[in-house]
Amino acid sequence: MAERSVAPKSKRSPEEEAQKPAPVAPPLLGNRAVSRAVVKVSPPQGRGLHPDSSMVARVALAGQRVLARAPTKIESYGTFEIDNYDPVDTDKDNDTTKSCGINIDVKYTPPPHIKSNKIGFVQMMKCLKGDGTPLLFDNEVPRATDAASGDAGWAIDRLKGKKWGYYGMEDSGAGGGNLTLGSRTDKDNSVDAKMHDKITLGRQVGKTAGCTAMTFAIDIEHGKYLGGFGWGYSVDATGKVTGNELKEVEMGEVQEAAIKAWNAQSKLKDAAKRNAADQQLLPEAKILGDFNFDPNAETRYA
Amino acid sequence: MEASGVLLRSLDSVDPFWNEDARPIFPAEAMRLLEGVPEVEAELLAVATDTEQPLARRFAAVEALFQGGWTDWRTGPQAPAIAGVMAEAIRADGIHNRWGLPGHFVGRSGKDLLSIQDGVEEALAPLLDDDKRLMIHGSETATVAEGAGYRVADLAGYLLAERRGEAFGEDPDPAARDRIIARLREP
Repeated sequence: MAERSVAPKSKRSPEEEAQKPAPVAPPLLGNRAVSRAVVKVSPPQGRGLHPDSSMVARVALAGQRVLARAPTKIESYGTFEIDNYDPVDTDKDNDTTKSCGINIDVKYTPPPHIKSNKIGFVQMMKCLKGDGTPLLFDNEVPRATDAASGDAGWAIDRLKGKKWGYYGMEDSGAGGGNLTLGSRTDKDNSVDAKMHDKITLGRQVGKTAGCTAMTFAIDIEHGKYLGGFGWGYSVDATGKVTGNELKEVEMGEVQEAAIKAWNAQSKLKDAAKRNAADQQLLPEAKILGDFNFDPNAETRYA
Repeated sequence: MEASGVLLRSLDSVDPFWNEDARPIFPAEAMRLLEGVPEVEAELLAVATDTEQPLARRFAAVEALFQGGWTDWRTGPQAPAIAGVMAEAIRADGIHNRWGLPGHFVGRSGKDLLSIQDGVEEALAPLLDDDKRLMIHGSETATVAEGAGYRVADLAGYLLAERRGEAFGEDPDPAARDRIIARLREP
């Protein structure tokens, strides 16, 4: 496991920070091994309109090819593979009021020595508004960490109305459109757990914004947290969106507090303040470290 | 400063179409100023129903009415006009979380709209033809919305279904939702 994360203070000037190129995932393959691929065309808006193969071909012929990047691997308690880690910016690099964030696809291979029939993810994050205060939606307010936890504003990321604290899980306990549950029966047989997320949040003209996220794989069958990694994005005052460095993380007191806060929310007498009327408890985790760092910091190191 | 000046300055102090966290839009200071305006509910209603005023100011007045709890008008003759302002605001909104996520939950302003006695269905009906994509913010919430490609039409259909006590479902297929919307067009 990696050392605990800390947030080093940047020694660059703001101008240097602004000119710093967006981080690129280190290639795991040589250039020859990096294949070229056509980017999947997003479906156009409107009913019943979907790109067909001829449309894809036209886009390809128009020269809109991009390099397919190799996923970034993070060895933790198990292995994470991060792909399509791309900034979201509805008015790219311009200093306007707009929507910003980051896209991510995660694949988790459980370590060979565990056995579990159900592996998923618990995800928590802290997002900031332009005034530097935490950005919390109404369903997140009752479960956000407070200052006494060490860092106010962290919350378990779950869709309002869902009862489980596991990212992407349907109320039935099955995976969903953004979650594929994993498993391992022995050292040779496993199913990778997968998830997709695309943070999209507001950013006001002339203001900074951003999110720090941590995603932990969890053995749901036995209630044990497995490996984890940190990610997220920041928007600088000029409107440029930069992805946070992908790094292994361990759960700290603040994240532990976020889990406890989720559990406390599930017990609120006023059911309207719960994430769902039958909100379920998350396993509480052993404290392994502390990651009380500045979510605005552009990079963090484990 | 005259009361009407205080009222308009308070309304214009916020961008009502950029509600980042889906929570009430007026800071406490603005609400205190509004509370000091004589006959504030009538004054806000006058702004909200004045078609000469810009939509942003009219909708800000509606938001202030709900945030301040000045809601006696919901059962009165001005209710349909306010429902109409809210429906237009859905079209114009920059972030739609406050209205809700179709098939999943009704948001703060969605509940406000549904709490109006008359004119809600008539206000929502034209939106059933609006294919503009919703801008839903968040993490998993935004991801679900993008995956399903939710549109203004879906939100209007969902709110109509809630109003009638009917199911809208969570189908990620727009074609399936269109069939539900077609059913909801019938009064």
